[in-house]
Parts: sequence; structure tokens; C-alpha cells
Amino acid sequence: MNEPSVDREDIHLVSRHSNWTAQNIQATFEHSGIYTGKAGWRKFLNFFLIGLGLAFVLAGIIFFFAFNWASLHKVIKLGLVETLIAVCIAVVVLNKRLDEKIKNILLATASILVGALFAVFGQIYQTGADAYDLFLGWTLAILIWTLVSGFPVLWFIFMLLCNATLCLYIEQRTSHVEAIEMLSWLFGLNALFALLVEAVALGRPVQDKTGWLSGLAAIAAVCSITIAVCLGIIDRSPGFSISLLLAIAGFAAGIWYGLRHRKLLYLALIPFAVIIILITAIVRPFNDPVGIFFLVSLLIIGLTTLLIMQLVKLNKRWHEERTED
Amino acid sequence: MKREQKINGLLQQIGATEGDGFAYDKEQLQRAIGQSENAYANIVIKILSGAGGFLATLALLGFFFVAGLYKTEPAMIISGIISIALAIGGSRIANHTFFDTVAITLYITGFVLAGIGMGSMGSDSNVILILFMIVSIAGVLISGGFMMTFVSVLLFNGSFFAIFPVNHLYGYIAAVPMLFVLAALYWLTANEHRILAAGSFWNKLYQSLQSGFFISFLAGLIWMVHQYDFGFGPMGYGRLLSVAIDIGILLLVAQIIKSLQIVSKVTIVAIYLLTIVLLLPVFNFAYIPGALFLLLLSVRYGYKVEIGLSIAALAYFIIKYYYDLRLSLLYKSGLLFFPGLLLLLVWYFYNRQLKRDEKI
Repeated sequence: MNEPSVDREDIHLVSRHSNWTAQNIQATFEHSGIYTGKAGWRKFLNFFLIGLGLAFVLAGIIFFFAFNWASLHKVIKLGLVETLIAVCIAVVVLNKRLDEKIKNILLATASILVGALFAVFGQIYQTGADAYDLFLGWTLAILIWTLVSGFPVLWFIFMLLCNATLCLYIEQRTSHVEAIEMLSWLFGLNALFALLVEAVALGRPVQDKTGWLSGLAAIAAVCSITIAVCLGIIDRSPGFSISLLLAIAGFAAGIWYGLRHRKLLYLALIPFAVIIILITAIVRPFNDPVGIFFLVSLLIIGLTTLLIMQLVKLNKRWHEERTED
Repeated sequence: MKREQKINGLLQQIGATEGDGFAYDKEQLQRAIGQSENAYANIVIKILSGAGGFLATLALLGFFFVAGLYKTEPAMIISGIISIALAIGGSRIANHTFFDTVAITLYITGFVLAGIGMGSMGSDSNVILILFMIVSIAGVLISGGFMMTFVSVLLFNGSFFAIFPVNHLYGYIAAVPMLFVLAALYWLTANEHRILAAGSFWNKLYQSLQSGFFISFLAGLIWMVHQYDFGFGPMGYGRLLSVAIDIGILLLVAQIIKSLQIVSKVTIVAIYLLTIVLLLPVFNFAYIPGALFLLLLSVRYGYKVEIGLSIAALAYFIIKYYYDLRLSLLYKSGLLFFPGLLLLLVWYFYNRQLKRDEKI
């Protein structure tokens, strides 16, 4: 869809305070590109048909081989998956005229097939490897593709794999680890991701125009450390001080970044997490359930309202500064 | 581009098309521009408000129950009524972002307390649900805020929907709420221009109504997928709903054909036939065409957040459909491979046609 010159809110505001006719309102929606026109539909149908088609065909192939799996020779099993990976990469590399987005979809498909390849290898040779080995190998194998593609969906897959590898490593390879420690590690990993996606240090920034990927990574990081700190407050676990320090450092960095780059998500998410931690800390010493519930509800209402007030003031100031530029 | 400049440019364009009869309230418009930049210009603030309201509601309800309020039904009913009244009235008087968290908390808490109180006193479930629907309509008409209207729409549709399983009404009659939500969603979205021009009251309500009906329909589809998990049997209206949704999809396909300026009758018939062929295998599973309908509707009318939700819903429903199919892997592979191949063939011919058009 083309970026409209006016947006929906502008049209809503003007129509609310004028005698603009319905017919001309509709015409403005169409001409400004808010309602999808010819070019938008062409783009959408192009990606929808190939995306859905490829997904169905691949799934059909996978199911077919799953059905015949036991009777297939190991060479055919491995060869099939490897051929599919090779075909995807060959198309990406050799077809110069192919649309960038389709190349990225094929690269993401190849990345998923790498995992299938490792799974098949493990199944044939009964390597006895831990699940963490498979995810680690998968993650490392697609690292370079992820770095060069800049495709947010592939980065998201990579992020999921890193999280899975970390969780499985902690579960399978380390002796008894508290939940608070695992959550602290997850915070570190996802905070690093949020940083990587936001930064341009790699020379080729991730093409994440809407910020959904960095937002997801930030949400994962903040949720992990918030749960860790709350668990520490409730259980008084040994890892509490480290998770608290990580939270303070991470939240401070997040607030600084949010203010500097005008990212409202960070400025809403982190203070809300702080509210939850504060409430946990406040109610922990009390034994009166009636009082606790009432106090908690008042605190949530009061603090959230205060936070919203500040965010709205900040948003207004940013808008004013933008109009002055 | 400065926002005011953008809007001034728009006003000039409108003046040129509308002629001398066009008039607008400059002061009100300036004030509205300033307010909109403060408040819900950002979805983050909306979600924060909703999340705060939800958590506070849970805590407040916890307080009422731990304090033993559930033992006194009249007290619960009175507390519920007062909460709802405060929420609606307060939202109307102080129509401001800051009040929304409080309003949502009081509103939902009020419904829960009043509902449980009335239920404990032996009131008929139908009376409770119909009362909820009436109060929700009052919430829409009186409160005026985005979140209050949005929550009211969800409560209205949820109560309407609940009437049927509560009364053990199955079969086609049980499709009425979903059909209503489907029709309302399509009508609202397709008539945005008419509603915006119908006066400032409906203009202000439009976005919250559209979002409310979208989420209600999506929730209804999710319910269809997971109804067995909650101990409910088949509601028995899947096919009727499929027919209605398929009609909606064909109406949207007609709009796509018009947008793409396709004139060849053969091509048009082929597109309609292909659409029907693709929808036939999932006729008994209305949630998949339902998600497709939501996707096409969101794309057509440019709702980016709803596009994201529709894609996620479509992916989930398709995976669930194939997971639940009681067929061998061989049949499942065929049911995936051949439709996939058909889609790739369509993509190939579609791209060829595009290149031909570009050359012309």
C-alpha cells in the first residue's frame, strides 16, 4: 500500500467539524491511498499468493515424506531436504531480477529447512544429542543468512532459536538453576537483540520500518526481568540481587533510549514493569488479603493514570517539536 | 510535513471539490487537532490503558470477594450498578485519556458484581444478559470515550452470543449473533464515509465501533475453534456462517476486481470460480474463511493493525485445521500440496498478466 499524504485521523477530524459530504470523503480515502487501490492490491496479491502457495506446497511435501518416512533410504531422506535448501538458495543467488521480498521469503524457508535437516540427521543416526545441540547448530547455521538478509521475519526466527537454545542449554546442561537465573539470562539475550535490531552497527540495518521486531524483543526482555525480580521479592531467591541490578541497568538504558529516540513503547513498557515490581514489593510484607487487594487496585489505577498523563504530555511535546522543525 | 499544513492543504482540496457550500468550524478543528495529538494518537497508550484497567479490575474484584461481598447479593448488585453508573457518567463528563483506566476498571467490575449478585439471587440468565446488552448500548451512547465504547461493544456482543448456549439453543438459530457481528462489521467498515458525514456524534464513535466489532468477530472465530476445549458441543451453525462469510468474501473480491480494472468477463468468472474452489474444502470450518474475510476487509480499507491480527489468525486457524483433520499423513499432504500448487500457478499467471499490462 502507498503511504498516504493525509491519514485516516486527519479525515476523521476534518469531517467531524465540517459539512464535508460522504461521497467526497470516500473519494479522499481512495485517492490518498488509505483505501487500497490498484497498486496496493497488486502488491498484496503477489505476496499473498506466493506466500500461501509456498507454505502449502512445502507443508504438503513435508507431510508426504513424513508418511513414507520409515521406508525411505537415509540418502533420499537427507538428499531431499538438502536439495530443497539448495534450490531456495540457488534461486536467491542466481535470479537477479527476483523481487527482494520474495528472495527474503525463500531465505527464511531455507532457514527453517536447515532445522528439518538437523532433525532428520539426528533421527537417522540416533546421535543421542540433546535438543539443545540441535537448536544451537540450527542457530549457528543460519547466523550469516540472518545477518546479510536484514529480513525482520528471519531475525524473528533467529531470535526464537536463540531463546530456545538458551532455555534448553540451561535445562539440560547445567545443574539446578533457579528460575530467576534463567529469566535473567533471557533478559540479557533479548535486550541484546533489541539493541542489535535498533542499531545500525552491522552496516545493514534490519528493514524493520514499523519497529515490531525490536518491540517484541524489548517486550520479551522486560517481561523476563520483571518476572525474575518479582519472584526474587516473593521467594527471596539468591539470584535476586543480580536480577535487580540487571533490571535497574536495563530499565535505565531503555528509558534513556526511549527518550532520546522518541520510542513511546519503551517509555510505556518499562515504567509499567516498574509499577508491577513496586506493587509486588509493597504488598509482600502484608498479611491482610482484603487490604492488599484494595491497595493493589488503587495503586494500579493511580500509577497507571499518572504514567499515561506523563506519556501524553511527552507525546504532545514531541509533536510540537516536530511541527516547529 | 507539519500536521496543520497538511490539514490546511486538505481543507483547500475539499473546498475545491465541495464548492462554496463547504464550511468548517476552525476553532473546534484546531482544538481537536491539539487534543488528538495528546491522546490516542498512539496505540501504546491505548494498550497501556487497557492493561492497567484489566489488572486493576482483577485486583478490585479480588478485594470484593475476599472481603466477603459475595455473601451479600443485594450489596453486590448495588455496588455493581454504582460502578457502572460512575464509569459511564464519569467517562461522559471527564472524556479524557487519564480517566479511561479508572472508567474501564469500574465498568467491568460493575458488570461482574451485578451479574454474580443477580445470578446468586436466582435471576434468569436471559434477564441478566439482556440487561447487560441494554446497559452496553447505554455505555456506547452516553460515555463517548474510545475505550468505553470499545469495551461496551465487546460486552454487548459477548452477552448476545452467550444467550444461545445458556438456553441450549443449537443449530442455525445459534448463528444469529455471529451473523449480526459479521453484517455490522462489514456495513460499518464499508460505510465509513457515510458514518463520518452523519454528524460529530457518530463520527467520534466510528473507530471504536469498528474496532469493537472486528475484535468481537475474531473472538467468535476463536471460540469456534476452541469451543470443545471449554466443554461445549458443536453449536451447529458452521455451514450457515460459512455461506454468509463466503458471500462477504465474494463482495470483497468484486471490489478487488473493480480496483484492478479487470474487464475481461472470462477472467472475472475465472476469479470467482477460483475463489469458490479455494473456499469449498473449508466450508465446514467457517473460521478459516472468517479469517480470510477479515484479512481482505482490513487490506481493502487500510487498517494496518487489523491486517496483522488477521494474518496471525489465518495462519493459526489453518495450522489448527490440518492438525485436527482425522486423516492419514498421505491425505493431509495431498490436501496441502494441491491447493498450494494451484495458488502458485495462479501467482505465475497473475505475474505474467501484470508484466503484460506493464508492457502495454
